[in-house]
Amino acid sequence: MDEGSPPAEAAPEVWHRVHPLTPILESLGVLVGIFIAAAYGLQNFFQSAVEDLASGRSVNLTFADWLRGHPLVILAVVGGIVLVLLLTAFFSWLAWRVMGYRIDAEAIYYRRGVLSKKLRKARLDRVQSIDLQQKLLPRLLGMAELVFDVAGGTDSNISLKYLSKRRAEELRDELLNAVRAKKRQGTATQAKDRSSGGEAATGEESAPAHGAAAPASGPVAAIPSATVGHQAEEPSGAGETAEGIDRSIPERRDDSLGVRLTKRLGAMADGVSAEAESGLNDLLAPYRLAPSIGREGEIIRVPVHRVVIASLLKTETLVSIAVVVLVVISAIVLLAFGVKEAFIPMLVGVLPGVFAAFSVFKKNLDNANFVVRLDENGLAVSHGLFSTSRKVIPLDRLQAVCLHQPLLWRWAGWWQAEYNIASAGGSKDSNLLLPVGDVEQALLMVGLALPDPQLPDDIAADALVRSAMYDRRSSDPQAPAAEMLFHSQPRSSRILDPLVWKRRAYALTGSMLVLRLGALERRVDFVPHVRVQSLRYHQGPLMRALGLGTVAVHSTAGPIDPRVTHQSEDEAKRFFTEHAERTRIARLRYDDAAKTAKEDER
Amino acid sequence: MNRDFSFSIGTDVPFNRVSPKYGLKEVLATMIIVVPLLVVGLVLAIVFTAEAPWLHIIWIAVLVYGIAAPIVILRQAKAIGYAERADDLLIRRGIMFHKATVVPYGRLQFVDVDAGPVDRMFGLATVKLHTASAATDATIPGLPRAEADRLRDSLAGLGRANMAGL
Repeated sequence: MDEGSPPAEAAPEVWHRVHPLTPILESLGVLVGIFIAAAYGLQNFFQSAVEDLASGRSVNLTFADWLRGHPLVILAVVGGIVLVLLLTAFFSWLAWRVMGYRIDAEAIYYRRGVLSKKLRKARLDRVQSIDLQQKLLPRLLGMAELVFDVAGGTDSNISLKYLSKRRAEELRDELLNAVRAKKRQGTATQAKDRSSGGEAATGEESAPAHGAAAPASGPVAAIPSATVGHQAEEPSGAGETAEGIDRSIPERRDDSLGVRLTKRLGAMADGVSAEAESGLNDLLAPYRLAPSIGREGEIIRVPVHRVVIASLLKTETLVSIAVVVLVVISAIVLLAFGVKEAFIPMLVGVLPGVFAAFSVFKKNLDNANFVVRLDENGLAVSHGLFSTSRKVIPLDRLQAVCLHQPLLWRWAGWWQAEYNIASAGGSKDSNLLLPVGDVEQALLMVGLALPDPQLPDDIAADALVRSAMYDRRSSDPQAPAAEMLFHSQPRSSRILDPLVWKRRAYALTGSMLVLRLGALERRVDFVPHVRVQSLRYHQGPLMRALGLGTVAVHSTAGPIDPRVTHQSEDEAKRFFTEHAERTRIARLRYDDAAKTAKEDER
Repeated sequence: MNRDFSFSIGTDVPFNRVSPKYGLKEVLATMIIVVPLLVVGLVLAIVFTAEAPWLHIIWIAVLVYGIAAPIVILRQAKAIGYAERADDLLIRRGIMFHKATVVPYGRLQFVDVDAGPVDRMFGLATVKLHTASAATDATIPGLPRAEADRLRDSLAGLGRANMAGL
């Protein structure tokens, strides 16, 4: 707590102000709106004037004449604008005066609001990550916001805005140190701390979030989360992670490769070196990959043009384009047949579709310049075309990973990778591991996010993943052996899954479950055994008639909802019971590794 | 009516049944809605029998439902079973739709005990298990209050002892 203590700690009641341009930046949207409205009005006037001139008529100047007759009106309008600007400036100043943040030994506070005052508090030891975010306008003015991700429900972020970029970076480093120190200290007094760990993730948010359990239980009190409190933190590993990874536990076999790599790199002073590369190559040996580490630890860079093409080829973009084109064509055809009334309404009706397609496209563009770097905290990702946001992928909190290939990406051989994470706040966070990449890049990211698959010696990890990606079409020399690991669906399931029954299959390795899904849009889900929450077997009447059963493997909320679908009834039941046992043993092994490490330390 | 409606999940653990009062409670809860509906339907049908003779269909449908539902509900109640195994809790239910859920103790986030007004009339309570996954739907309805409290305490204790996967 000594070296990294935040400046405010000495005088705990010191509120720091944010950058004076903040209120203006925040209300800029409104100003731009007013400007556009005014421009639109003027443009109408000029347009009619120009049209009049072009058609040789005398310009309709009745409005101008009227204005000349009443000079006071101009004065009033100009005065009004000035008044509005002055008022805006005044209220901006008022707003700025109350905006501020404070940091003490325990927490970060952020306050704002003139009329309705808001104060948010985030306990340092609950902070999961601190992201530096730069949107377009702030970036032009050299400013940034700091986003604190606090473990807890949705929207439990604190966003400190805006600070000058330099100040934001300083503050971020200071706070990261403070958070780490706090957490290290916290681990020492964990036993005591944990019982109270359930309370106050964010001062403001915690009450409803925490209370959700109690009122629902009615008159009989639920076990307060505190009783089982230590587990409440377990999936998020909140006690241990800030941005980085807890290095007090040495490498475990079931840690994801990225976590193991980070632990190996922990001792190194500067993140990038030959050692990092050899460590990476060593760990990724099962995947037969030899990635090279570029400048500043860069391992993956997705160029802008690839993101653009990939997002155009996505199925949802194609569908919306097809709909728009179809409507336009039918409108033209109708026009050709002389139905004039329908033309304009149809074109107007298509506009929302165009906007929707455009917004999806724009969202995808946000992933342009997607760069993954290897640094001492793990995998640092930065992306954005006009504005850059950076974050660290919390490798030790990943619960499941999936690979996904929209239909038309097949032509280019591209894949997308996503992950499920343990309940971090901020629903708007994207769960992308890789927006688009070739097979090698997909294998690299998936490999880093998952534990060593622990396969028999004659099957390489990438052979298995390739078999999962390309089913029987995998050209890998070990594909036949890898295919043996897959349990496909019985023939009777073809009535329920006419397209995918041949492709869908599951495979079990020593450390994870691999699901091969999706015939047109190929998909592969990976769920490490140690991350499984619970299991559910299900059989409806139709499935019973066909002798089938489905087992859902429960992971945390996210894009991945893994299910072993429509296996034969006996096989599904056996998977259900055996997987419960398998995951239990995996968890046991995982905990034992941590326990022995802690005992060795003592 | 002491037949075993439950399906086998492949492990030969003894399953606990929920309280026999649970079926009655569910039937009562259904009747609270069905009986007034039936009365209203019957009255309307009799009053407007000349203008709209088809109104009779409604109360007949409600009556059929009122007779069929208790049979299904009682059978369903008998099919609910749970087993506290060494490391996880196994719950199974359903006659038409077979469902089985296994929740490892090490994955428990918290446990709810819930008792509504009708539940309390019968001295029953519902135990609900929560993990970090929203998909976990592990509910044991119709436990006697004492058993529900015992289960909750025991699960909390086991959860602590089996803290796993950190």
